[in-house]
Amino acid sequence: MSHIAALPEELVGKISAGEVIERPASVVKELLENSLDAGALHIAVEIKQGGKQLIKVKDDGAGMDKADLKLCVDRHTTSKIRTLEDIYNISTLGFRGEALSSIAAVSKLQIVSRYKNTKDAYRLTVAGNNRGIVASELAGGTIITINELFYNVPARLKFLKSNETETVHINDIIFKLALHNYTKSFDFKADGRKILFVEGVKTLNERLYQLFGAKAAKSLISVNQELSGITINGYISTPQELKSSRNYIYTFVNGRIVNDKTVNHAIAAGYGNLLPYGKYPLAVMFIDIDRRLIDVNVHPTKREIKFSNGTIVHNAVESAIRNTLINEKPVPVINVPNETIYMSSNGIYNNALQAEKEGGYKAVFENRASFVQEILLKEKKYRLKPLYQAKNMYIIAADNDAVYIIDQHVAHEKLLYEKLKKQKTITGSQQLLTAISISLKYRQAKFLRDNMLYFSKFGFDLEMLGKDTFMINGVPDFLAEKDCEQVLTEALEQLEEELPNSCSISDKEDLITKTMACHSAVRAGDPLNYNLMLVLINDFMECELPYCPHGRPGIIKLTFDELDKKFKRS
Amino acid sequence: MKISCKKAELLENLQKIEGAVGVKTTLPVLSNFLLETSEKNLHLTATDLELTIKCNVENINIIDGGEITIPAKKFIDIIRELPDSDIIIDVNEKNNITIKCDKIIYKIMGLPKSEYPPIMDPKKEAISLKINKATLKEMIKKTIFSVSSDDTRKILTGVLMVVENNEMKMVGTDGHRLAFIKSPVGKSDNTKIIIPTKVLNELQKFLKEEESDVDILIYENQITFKFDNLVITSRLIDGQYPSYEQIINRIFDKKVKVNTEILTKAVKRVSLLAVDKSSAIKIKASDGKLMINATTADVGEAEEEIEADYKGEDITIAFNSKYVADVLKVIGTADVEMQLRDTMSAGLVKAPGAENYIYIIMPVRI
Ligand SMILES: Nc1ncnc2c1ncn2[C@@H]1O[C@H](COP(=O)(O)OP(=O)(O)O)[C@@H](O)[C@H]1O
Ligand SMILES: [Mg+2]
Repeated sequence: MSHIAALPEELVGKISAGEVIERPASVVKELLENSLDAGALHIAVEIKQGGKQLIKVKDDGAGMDKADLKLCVDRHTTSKIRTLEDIYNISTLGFRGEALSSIAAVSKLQIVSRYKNTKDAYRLTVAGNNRGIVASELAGGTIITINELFYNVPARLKFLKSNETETVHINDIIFKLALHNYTKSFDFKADGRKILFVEGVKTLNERLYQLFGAKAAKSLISVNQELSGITINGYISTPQELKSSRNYIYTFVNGRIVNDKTVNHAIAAGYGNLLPYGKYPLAVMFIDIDRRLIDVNVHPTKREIKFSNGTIVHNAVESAIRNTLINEKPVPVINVPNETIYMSSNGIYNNALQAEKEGGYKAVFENRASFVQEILLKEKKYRLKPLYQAKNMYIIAADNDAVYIIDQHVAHEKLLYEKLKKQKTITGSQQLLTAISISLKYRQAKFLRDNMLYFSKFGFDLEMLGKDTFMINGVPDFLAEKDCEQVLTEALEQLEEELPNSCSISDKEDLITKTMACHSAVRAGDPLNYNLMLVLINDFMECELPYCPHGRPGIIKLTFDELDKKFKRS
Repeated sequence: MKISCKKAELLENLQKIEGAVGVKTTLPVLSNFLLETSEKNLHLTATDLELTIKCNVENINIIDGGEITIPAKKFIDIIRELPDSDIIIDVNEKNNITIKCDKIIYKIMGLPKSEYPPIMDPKKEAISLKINKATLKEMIKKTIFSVSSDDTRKILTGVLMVVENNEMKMVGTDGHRLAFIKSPVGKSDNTKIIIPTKVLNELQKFLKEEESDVDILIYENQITFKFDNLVITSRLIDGQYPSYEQIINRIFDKKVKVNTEILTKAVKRVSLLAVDKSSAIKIKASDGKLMINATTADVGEAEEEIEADYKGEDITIAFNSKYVADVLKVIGTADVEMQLRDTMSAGLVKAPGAENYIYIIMPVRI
């Protein structure tokens, strides 16, 4: 007796359905993708009991004629590709021809559709092996109704979560698709309750206002870049407005929702040291790449893709983010809460926001005088004038547009860090009248011995006496007024703690630079004179990014517009 | 206690002791002046426990003897604003103070003398010496700027005073540069102490450029300066001062002489580029001239050539511009002499022909 037997058709259908349809949200994803592929402008989703009882998607897309309607629920039927090559040059979201058949295999399904430019609408009903198609009425587009999902797969049904959880998953999918397809309107109701409604808008920016609210949307900065044929558009949060969860990273590759390791890593790399441990940005990234350079057919739910060259994608994303952060120099603006304009209840984007946004964070940076002569003539005027040093910690300053509060330690630390980092040559080493000898603990001594080179690059003129004893002959010139011995030992202590055993040379150098900068900078509590403050704050404003090397913000900007509003002057 | 005196006289003397009033003190009474009378005089005292200044006011009309402590800032502000006339200060047994001047009356509350801490008495017998006021003032001025401002290196925040072989020497250093000055004094025992800059700053303010002497009494842990109507006492900094003799006895083979004012201006102009206070300037000596240069990575380069009295091989050395500017400010002679050896060795600055003042600067390796 043979052990192997062909499975009955129905079972095969259920098994393969399991790959595509995991839960109600997968149904919604497939149906919405179909609607979008059909060119719909308005899409409405309605569910009951987390989609377990009912999922209904109505669109105003092209629709299907009678013949297509009959075919569409068969396995591997699609209008979107004809040959294998087509997969590699695909412009639609669907192509596998599996969704409708899979859904039909595990639910009671009904499709009413009217093909564009025809008068007749038809209704197809599928429940198990029973299929029927009859004439029907419909103004246009397609309505797909799924009742009792998994009614015939009790095992799957058992694994579904609560109605609320399933609703959240569905909402997630709609939210993400709405994010990318901002020109379309989306309407989502669950058990009769309106959950999400957005009108189609002209720009992504407007959609961000709709979906995230004015306050969050305002703090985002736009990314637009093309590199090695990869176009990257989107919005990212300033290092000031980071999230504690990675769930706010929305990436789309050629319009597909993807969760790709390379892309995620590149985003984090773009922020570099501005992302403290456990913090993530909010990022909406539309990555568009030559269709032939990605393989979309690696997963039945299409949420994974494969890049033929991951490195160039990584570079493009990383540099797009990095350049954006550098160019924008986002100086955080204090928000005036009562001025936040909320999305109007009908979801129509309020155009007044646009005007309001202009007064935002783009500080004007004066070009730094670069001619010696000018400086010698003292023509170098610093734009920002320090007004007061509060608590020997914060420098209060103002220019014509705004009042600034600057953390002196962060500002100095950052300046030193940038200076040290840029310094191609060796930092000046102030020689000491008499060398100082220091004894270190075993591990610190070893660390110093192993990294002598870096420390001498920073201006420490060190000499090894014994295993644990060193002579300091010279100290970094920027440390002139400090207790260099203390700075050195503190830095060593911190490095010993923080430096992972194995890390790249450039990471190591960066960490040493950071630590040196941190320990050499003026501290909170150090009184500063006017000139020092003047130089400090103006140079700080010119830094690539006005944050401390560890990602702590260093400046708060309060524009006079904001102040006027606060004082209700306007 | 009831006294009357001239406003100007009282104010002048209060200002002399004002510097010793405790500012951030845990003992509130230290922010008061102590006023005491003796038979004919009024004695003013202020202290923060580190530094004590006593001032003796002679032209006083003592109506009723007594003593009181008065909130210093309030008191001096009141006196300052009073018209130039006679002032009557009247204290009752409840420590209420009435200040009268013409038709103006102020009333403030004082604290009894019993609240005031007993002023430290010296532990061991003193070494005493005398030094000319103007000389002491100059010695302070030429060393005090070199001390370290870093409180973690307490010893270097003070000025070393050495008395040996009928000479008084003072040294200030922050580890990168060192100023040394010496001057003959009368016969005295040898000693070596570290004096906090606070007392030296007060001395600088009130020492006049005149021929009379200051009496100095040195005890185990404090020093007292007596001059005019003042007695200024300060605690000493405890610890071992680094040895300076080797440093000032280094040998230099290159000597450059330049005009002090021209060099000062050049250094100032060039270091405009060096926005950081710690920026280095490069000095290049070649036949007959000195080239001063500052380069700041992203700002630019500034260079100035000045005439100099120099013959010998070219030498280039970099110094922290502040260290150079500091000494030029106090040198006080028309010309200045710079002695060098090589790029990595110390440089020396002094007045040409004078051996009593030496300033050593360590170079910056760039
Ligand atoms: N909402 C819709 N409007 C128009 N045509 C649709 C719609 N949904 C499905 N179709 C048609 O049914 C076919 C099968 O759909 P599906 O099973 O999802 O496969 P795929 O999307 O991979 O082609 C699609 O190719 C399309 O022609
Ligand atoms: Mg599909």
